[in-house]
Amino acid sequence: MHARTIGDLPPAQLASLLASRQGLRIGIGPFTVAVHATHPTLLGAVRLMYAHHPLVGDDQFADLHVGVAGAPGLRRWLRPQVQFQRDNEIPFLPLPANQAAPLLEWGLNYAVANSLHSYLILHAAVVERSGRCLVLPGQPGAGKSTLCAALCHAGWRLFSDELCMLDWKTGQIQPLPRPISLKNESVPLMQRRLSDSTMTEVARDTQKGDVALLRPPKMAVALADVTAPPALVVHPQYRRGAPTQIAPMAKGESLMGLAGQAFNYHLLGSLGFTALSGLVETSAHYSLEYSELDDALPRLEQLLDQ
Amino acid sequence: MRRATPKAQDLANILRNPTSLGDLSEPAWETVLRQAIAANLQCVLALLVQQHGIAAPPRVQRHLTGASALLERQARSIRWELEQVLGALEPMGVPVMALKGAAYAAQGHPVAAGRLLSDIDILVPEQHLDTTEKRLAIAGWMSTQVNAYDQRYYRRWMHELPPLTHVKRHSQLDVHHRLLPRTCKASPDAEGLWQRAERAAELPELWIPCRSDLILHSIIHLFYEGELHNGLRDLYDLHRLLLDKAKDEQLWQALLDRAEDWGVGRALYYAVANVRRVFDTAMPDSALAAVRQFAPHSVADAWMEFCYTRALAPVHPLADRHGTRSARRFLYVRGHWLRMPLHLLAPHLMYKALRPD
Repeated sequence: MHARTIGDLPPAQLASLLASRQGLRIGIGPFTVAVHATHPTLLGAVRLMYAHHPLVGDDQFADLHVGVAGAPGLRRWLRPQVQFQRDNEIPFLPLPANQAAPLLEWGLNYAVANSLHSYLILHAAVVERSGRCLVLPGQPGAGKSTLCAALCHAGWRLFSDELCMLDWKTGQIQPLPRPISLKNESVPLMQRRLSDSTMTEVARDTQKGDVALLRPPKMAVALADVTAPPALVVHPQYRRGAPTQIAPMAKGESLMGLAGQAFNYHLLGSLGFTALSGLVETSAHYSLEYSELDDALPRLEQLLDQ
Repeated sequence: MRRATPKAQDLANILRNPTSLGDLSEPAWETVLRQAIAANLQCVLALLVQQHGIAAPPRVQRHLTGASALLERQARSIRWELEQVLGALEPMGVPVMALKGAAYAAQGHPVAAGRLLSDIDILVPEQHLDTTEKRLAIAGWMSTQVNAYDQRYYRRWMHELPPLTHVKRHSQLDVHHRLLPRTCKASPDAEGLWQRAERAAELPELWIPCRSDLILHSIIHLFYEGELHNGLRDLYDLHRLLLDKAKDEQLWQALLDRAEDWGVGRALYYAVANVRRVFDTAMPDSALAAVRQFAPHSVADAWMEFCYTRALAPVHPLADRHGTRSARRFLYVRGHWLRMPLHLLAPHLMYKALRPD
């Protein structure tokens, strides 16, 4: 039987699940995320962005409970705000209500990075091709989400645009395909480039500038259970007008860069170090400077095939 | 009225009877794990599953594996932080005593197993407080995010310095010079504590309180506290500290005598009542009879039972019962009331209520 997806749900049923005690249970590969939200802006975004994800019953274990709700206080009458909740914890300050959808994704990143310690979690985009992963670590603004969005619409499989989940027991990377957060110039760029894909409305003036979410490809969602080993680590840096430049990187330097982008490396101690060393040992390492996606993408394919 | 959690999914019940974990369905596991995380007991849960050979569903096991993974590194980092503190203070002739979680760990006490630490608590003699603060600052521990009001409040009235954070490692350090605030009616004498102190098994340059002082400190820490974020965890500590002591009349005599000396008999009574109610901890009959002398009036006793039954549960809606909010609020005010006389307390609570943040 065809599993029911979030997109199959009539809006009224979606709303009532989001408001229920058990939450709307979204399957993301081997994980279940229970989303609680009563805020109207979130409903449409969840329906759009998680359309391909399976609906999970409340007779199964949910890994995380996350929610976005209207923030209390007098301010809600003047300038409504929303706040993120990870189960009973409110980790961030409230944000303007138009940022509800990106806030859910940021909050979900926080929840994953702070609970799933059976993985070493790095701040990096991951895509896969012929059973091997390309890991793109980088500071915000380095262009990893843009590269990731373009790659996963050009024959690569999306694992994640933000979280590289390295299983420290097996050395495999676990996909976690969720909406991709596009920022600033990359929003209109992707609107043009991926004109037949689905994006949310643009949330203006967030902490990260303009943000829009891009729906993960259906194939990536369907294969979210299929892990793959790391093969290639590329540290990207977007620079306007720059020609594509790829240079090999020393393993030590790459390791330091990756460790600096790890969320729970310091908590895992020697387990984290062993896992990270394994990833570095089994991969080839490069730095990439780019401005033109059409130029950079084939070069990344070549690197993986080498 | 809120729905009570079924007994089989009650976290205290599970801590008392871990084999019941074997019968849980996936949704029941979810309820238990959420409460354990809220109570800071997820690593204890992971260890119990391991020790009792329980086959948790694979999706649950993934969380338990993740929780246990934190323990190895934590054990190493507690030791490292304590060595750094000793390195900063020992050359100046300042003796250092570990308290609470750090003491359990340094002593290698079974209660340390699975216990997550958010900060490290130490005690130094009051006359060395200035030196301590200066030396620790040189070693990188600074007090942060505390405004001028709080700084003054801590220094004038409290039993500890404002919390210190290491500038590089971000580890938290609480430096005490006594066990209860200066303003508190009860005053555990710090000198006696130092006289009875023992060398830590795992780190001989470090002092730890003798076993009866260790237990009594755990008791006053919990039953003078107003904010019970880790209430169930702390009560479980107490249960494990008192485990297998049912025939140890000598220990119980020391606890009773010292509780009387320090003026904390009432806290000892609440500790015994609650640890027995929740964990059924075995104790000598003579001690049970003797601790009754510290009981409050029967109406107050019933009210406090009502409050602690609720407030010593995980801070999570799934563990809330009818009256939990009021109970927590009452204990918050009581905690302040015990620590400060009213003429100091009223302005302080007023400031806390009105402060801009």
